[in-house]
Amino acid sequence: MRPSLPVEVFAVAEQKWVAGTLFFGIAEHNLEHYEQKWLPELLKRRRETPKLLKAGHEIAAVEDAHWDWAKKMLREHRAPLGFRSCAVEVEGETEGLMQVELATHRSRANKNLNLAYVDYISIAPWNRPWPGQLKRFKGVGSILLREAIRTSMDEGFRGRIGLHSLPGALTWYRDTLRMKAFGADQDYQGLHYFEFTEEQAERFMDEK
Amino acid sequence: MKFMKTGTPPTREWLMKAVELEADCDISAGPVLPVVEVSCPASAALVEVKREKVHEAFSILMRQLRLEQNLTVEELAHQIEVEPEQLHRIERHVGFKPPPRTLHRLADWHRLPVKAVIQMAGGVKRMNRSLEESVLCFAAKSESFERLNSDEKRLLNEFVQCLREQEE
Repeated sequence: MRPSLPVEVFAVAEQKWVAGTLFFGIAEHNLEHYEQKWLPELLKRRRETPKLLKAGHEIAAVEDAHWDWAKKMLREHRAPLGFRSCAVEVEGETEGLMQVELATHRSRANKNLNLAYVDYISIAPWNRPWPGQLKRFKGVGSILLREAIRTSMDEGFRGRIGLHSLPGALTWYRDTLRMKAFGADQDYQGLHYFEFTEEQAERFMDEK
Repeated sequence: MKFMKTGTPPTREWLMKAVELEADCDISAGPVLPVVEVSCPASAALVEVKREKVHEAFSILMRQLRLEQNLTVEELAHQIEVEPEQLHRIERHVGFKPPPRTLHRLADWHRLPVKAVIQMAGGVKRMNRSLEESVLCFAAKSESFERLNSDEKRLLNEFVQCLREQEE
């Protein structure tokens, strides 16, 4: 049985908190949910994007439809000390997935110090903004990011995390969380790179 | 255990703040991959994950069965007339594919169905589904210890019994 923590997420339509679970490790049924439930919806949204943009909707392209989570788990299986993954589940459904890499990345804000690099973080398509649809749950992304920081703390990295944001999530990392921004990374598909410093991580985790 | 954590769950107050901050943002981070329409991208790798776990279970099983008989690798190799190096590789090198003769000898010695042993050792492309489930269950619960405690012995015996019940 996978170790886990109880969490709560906010059901938008019902306007109430519902119980969920943060599992440490991604299980086969999470991969199956991704393949059978997330992927068809992500691909459908990708097909709908040009029409919605033409109609004037401000939406971000669906850019993670081809993340192969099973391959990510394979590399974790092969190098278990270098990765931590987790999944948020609500009522048996997979609502968010994350994999953090611990061995090879160094902080750009604090030169040469280790950090937890959020290699992949993704929430179910129905929890993302989309024209004409309410998000099903809010809070899943924050729970995952909190776990990335906790993992960094557990590893002795004092909460330092780094990540490359997909264009659709720039607002969240840059403007809302105000992570330390390092601009477009030409060595990484031009994606913007961000870090939480120790102080920022501490503020994010602050329970008050 | 690798994923064991000692942390506490987020409080409702923290979550309320987080949900307010999240508003209508997306949070995805990671590489942009080329757009290739595929119907089933996860399946192939999932099969590979399972195959590696099965190989791992085979290595553990062979090691545990030998330890239960209080044999060294050299002693067992002598008994079944194979090179000790092969047994070392079976027990230590996950994914090593031993020659059929060695698998037959091991199956005979441990009184296991040859087909099941060959399947576990990666000798066939498709594995019997019920066998695969039993093997993955065994793999999830087992580790390669020097000595087996009573729980591990029970688990090993149950799994061996399950293997012996597989159709020849």
